[in-house]
Amino acid sequence: MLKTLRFYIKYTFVLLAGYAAFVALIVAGAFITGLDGLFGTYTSMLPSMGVMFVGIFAMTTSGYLDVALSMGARRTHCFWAVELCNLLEAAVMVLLAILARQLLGGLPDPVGVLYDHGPKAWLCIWLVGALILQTGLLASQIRDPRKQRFARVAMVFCTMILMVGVTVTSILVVLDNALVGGLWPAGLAWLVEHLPLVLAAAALVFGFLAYRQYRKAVVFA
Amino acid sequence: MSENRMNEKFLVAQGIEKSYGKQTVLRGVNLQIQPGCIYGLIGRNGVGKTTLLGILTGQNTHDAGTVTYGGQPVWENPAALADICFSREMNSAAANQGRGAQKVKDYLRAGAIFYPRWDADYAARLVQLFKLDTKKQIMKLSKGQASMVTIVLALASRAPITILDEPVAGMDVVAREQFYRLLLDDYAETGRTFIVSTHIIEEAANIFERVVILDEGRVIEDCPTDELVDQFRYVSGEEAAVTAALQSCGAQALSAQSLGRHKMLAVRGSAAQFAALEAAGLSVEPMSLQNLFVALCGHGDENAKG
Repeated sequence: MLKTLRFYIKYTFVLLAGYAAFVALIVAGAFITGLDGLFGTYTSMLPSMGVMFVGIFAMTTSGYLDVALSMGARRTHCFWAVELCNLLEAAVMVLLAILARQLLGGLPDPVGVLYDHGPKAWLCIWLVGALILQTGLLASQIRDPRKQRFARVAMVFCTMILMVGVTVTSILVVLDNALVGGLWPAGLAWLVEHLPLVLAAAALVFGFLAYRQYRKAVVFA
Repeated sequence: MSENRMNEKFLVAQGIEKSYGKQTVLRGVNLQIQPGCIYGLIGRNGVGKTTLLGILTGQNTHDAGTVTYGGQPVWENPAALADICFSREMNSAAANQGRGAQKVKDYLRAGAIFYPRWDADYAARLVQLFKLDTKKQIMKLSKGQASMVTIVLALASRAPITILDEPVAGMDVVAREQFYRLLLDDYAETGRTFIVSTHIIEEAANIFERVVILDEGRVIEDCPTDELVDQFRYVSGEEAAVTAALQSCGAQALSAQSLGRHKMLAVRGSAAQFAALEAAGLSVEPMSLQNLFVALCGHGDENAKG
């Protein structure tokens, strides 16, 4: 397991270094041009952007799986190594978002406002992040370009919808200041009430499906 | 050296079956890879060589049968997988699936992580010998240079069972000679098992101690190369005399070429049968491994006209 983690972690560090440089750039830009400009908007979107990036990174891991398997790595080790790396990516991205918020001070932060709605909203945003990660991971495992083209497109589409959903919801929450009331159609009240459970169940299902795909992954000739 | 020499584990495949959709690729393949031997795996395009090697190394799934190493299953078995290196050909599929997208240094770094006997000094020497630019992505190298990367990985892995799939694809003749010499030097030093899958049979024939021929999803030959080559001869002479002599000695004719009344046959038989054919006044000439492969697996395609 440690060998496999060592293999994957290098790519995680490379991705995080790139993301950190991106954050540094937009924070510097916000310092210079002010919070009302383009850089300020980007900086205020950092938390949800982090969630999106983790999903995208998860989708790109199939190439590394091919290398690891071709050198004798175990499939289960690859799966858990990727999950751990994604967790690390998410944690660092949140830290960077918090750091940027501290540096700039008083920034309107969509997810920050979301957190103010209490633990349920806070939990929901993280569970959506977990769901994006698992769908991205599953999308990365639909690898046969001949047989699974539709499935792959569907999974990538599903992940993108979730990512856009997170961003739009974050913005709407800021605008309406209401996650639980007003924003959702009345017929979906049960969903809103049990949203953390629904999201957790969906993340688990997609995670399990991704795990199953990993268990039977092959190296393509 | 001694560690590898002491390794006496057999890699054994029994009753391996594999299909891709409706296309059956392997039909009950049985194979036993002995320790300390250089194997040549040969077969025509699409016959399932890479599929078989992938299954032997736990990199591909199979529909039926078992693969064991030292009596233990290979699939997801870290102890078995640590002893096996399957260095795959860098083809378009490799590029699409990520292996080709790696930089040379990252690919070799992965080798250093996963292969417990990785020889970093040897890898560095080989990179220098082949003049590889380690900062380049593998798919941006020439076909021959990409093959060299797979050779570096295979040799530096020092794995007791090292498998190379089309190792000299795209390499010039000098580089191919370099590879054969490196392989033999390594073998002399470590005595580890090599399995080399190749289409360049004529060149590689001299290094194969044993040869495995795969045809129509089955292993049709698995024996020492010299022993196999010794069973085949070209027999030629007047058509009637050739036919009569073959019938009387009972040797097996595989493929024939006729020129007027003159006929030449690829024949499989024993030393006594070849002596009888020679005594009958026919010309009996040795066959190369490549020629006997064509006779066994050509199925008449070698004489087909477009």
